[in-house]
Amino acid sequence: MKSVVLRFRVMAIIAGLMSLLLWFVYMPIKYLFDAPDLHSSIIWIPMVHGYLYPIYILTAIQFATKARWPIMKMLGLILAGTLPVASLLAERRVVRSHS
Amino acid sequence: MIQTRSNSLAPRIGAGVGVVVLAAVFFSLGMWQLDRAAALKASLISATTIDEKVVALESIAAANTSLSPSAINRTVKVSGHYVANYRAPGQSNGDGEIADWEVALLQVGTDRAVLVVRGLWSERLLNPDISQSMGIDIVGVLRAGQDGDRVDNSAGVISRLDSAVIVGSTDLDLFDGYILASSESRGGSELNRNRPSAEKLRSRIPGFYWQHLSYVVIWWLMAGVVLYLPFYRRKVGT
Repeated sequence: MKSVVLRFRVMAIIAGLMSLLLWFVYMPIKYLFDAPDLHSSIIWIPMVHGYLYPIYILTAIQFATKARWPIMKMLGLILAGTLPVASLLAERRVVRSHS
Repeated sequence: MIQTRSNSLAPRIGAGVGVVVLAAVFFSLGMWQLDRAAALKASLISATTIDEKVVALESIAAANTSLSPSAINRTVKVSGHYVANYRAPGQSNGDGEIADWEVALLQVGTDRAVLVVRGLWSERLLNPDISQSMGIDIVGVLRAGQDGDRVDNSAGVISRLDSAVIVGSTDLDLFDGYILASSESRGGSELNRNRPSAEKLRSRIPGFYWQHLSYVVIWWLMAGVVLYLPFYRRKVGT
């Protein structure tokens, strides 16, 4: 269980940071500023987020299953990876309950 | 706390149906990305392939009508006389070099006209003998009108290569798009000047081919995870 929690924590922190970049760097530059050069230099952010989020989902499912969480709670944990700070809050909650 | 497992059939069937529906949705999303990858590949080929066979402009396009996708990048010929001249600033050629281009409005017949990129604005005085009443024969590549403005429209300046930006300044019926001239001749004698090469077009479908294919893998992985999840939960539970 310790390694499962560790895997989830690492992915939750990475997914949280990528969500912060996505919401507060990439999206404002794409939709608020007319800066095609800048946009092309940060196009990696949604791509990396897109590839890391499924890995976060896998670790969240593994953790929630091992922790015997109900399905709805597991879904909440999965969706937390889509919001800027939600996965970081989820990571803190998991640390409090499983450390 | 002891978890109790329901032996009722209905919740199990409901959960099973839910799992299958969710897996089907993920699988469909993978198929959608596969289609987009194929469409992206096809559009990149059509956007960069120029048909060298010369056809008359009016055989593949009509004034006041949107260009059909099959007409774009065709090599066309058309005759007429120039009725207006414009500067198109900030245009990029096939090598990415940016310059101001000279664009003229070629009247075709009595009531139609098409935009023609003649060459660099800096070379506009190379053929001083050409007046606006003279008949000119054009051969060039028919291109779709540009989307984004390079500058603001002003007198004698067009913001982009698109007949829509001059529609208010002429009574002529305009062809959609523009012709990137590869040759201009008058009475059989060629007018010599540098002709800009076509800017490399990008597909309107965003992303890269490999990116769409990798999303296929991810969606299908998610479908597999959803299908495996009930068995995994049961395995961990026991």
